[in-house]
Amino acid sequence: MTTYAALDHGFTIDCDHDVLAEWLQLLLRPLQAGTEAKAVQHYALITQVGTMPTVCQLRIDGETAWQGSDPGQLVTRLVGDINRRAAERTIHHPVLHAAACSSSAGTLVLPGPKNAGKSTLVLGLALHGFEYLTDELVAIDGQRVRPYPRCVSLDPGSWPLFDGWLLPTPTSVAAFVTDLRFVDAAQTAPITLPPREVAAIVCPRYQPGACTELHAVDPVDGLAALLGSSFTLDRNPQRDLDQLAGLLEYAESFELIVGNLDEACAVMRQHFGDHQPPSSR
Amino acid sequence: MPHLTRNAHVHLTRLRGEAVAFDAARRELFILSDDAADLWERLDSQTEDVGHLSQPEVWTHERDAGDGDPSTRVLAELLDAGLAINWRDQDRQT
Repeated sequence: MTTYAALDHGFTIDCDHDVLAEWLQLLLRPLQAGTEAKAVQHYALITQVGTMPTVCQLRIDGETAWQGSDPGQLVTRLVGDINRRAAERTIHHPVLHAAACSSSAGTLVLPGPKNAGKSTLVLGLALHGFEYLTDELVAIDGQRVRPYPRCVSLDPGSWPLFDGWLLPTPTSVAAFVTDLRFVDAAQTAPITLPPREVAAIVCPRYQPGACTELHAVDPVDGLAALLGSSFTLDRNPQRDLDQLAGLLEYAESFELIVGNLDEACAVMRQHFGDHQPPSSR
Repeated sequence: MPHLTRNAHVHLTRLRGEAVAFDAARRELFILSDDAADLWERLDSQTEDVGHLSQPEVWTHERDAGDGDPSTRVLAELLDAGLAINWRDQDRQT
């Protein structure tokens, strides 16, 4: 059985639906762990409970973690639990709700709350030549970021922007994931450079129709943004404060107003490095 | 003698040389003057009374009842004395 690793959360998974099981292997491909990895959790996706065709379950180590009559929630529940436990189990580093990518200028950390546009922006950057590190959790290791290159998950509003890149979702699988689509950005924009130190904190703010612009902010604004994005602050506030302030000794802080994704990517390429975008499929 | 770090809700660090304090309970960031930072760091490592905040050369722990969070009270005194400000209130140019 394949072991996967979401930062320090190791897990295995099985599913009673053959087509869904095969699709999950594609979804989780970027998280495949080496043979030395230790699985802590076992997920089981049950698409039909007994004789009730529309009742499905997510079981964790044999216990029912979720049961519902809306099968479209099954994969969303799984992905959410993987993320939550990745943040909980990664205890030796500050963990932020942020995206990250790398360029020749260094690593860029993009902190922000839900719906700030982090996933859309980091995927756009990956398709414009930046190397993809994560769209969800940034674990700070000194001056660097530990990669968590899970498939980027997109809300319906973003699907048209990446139509040619979405992970194929067979009809029988779509029934189990109605509100998300995914892009394997790690395959499109793999990490090829040695780990780069964090060069900039860029806080995206999606404002449709606004003039897209990048402007520098005070380091204390950057620190406030990082602290506001931390999942681990309550566990270890002094450590997080010290390490995030240490990050900003060298990294500059910016705010990026995103009125349009293409414009935002152009501005970021201009500022943080110029690369050849990958060829489209 | 209680130190600031005992039961602390407020934590101090340096950001490019500037002292900042973070109140983890209220999730607020504060910028400290150099004098305030020096006082804080002395208080945090002290083994004897330093004196009243109003007389910087003399600082006591009279208000500290033994339980609770000295760091929050110290930060409140610094704010009252104008030696610390909320980061949102800082007039900054980048």
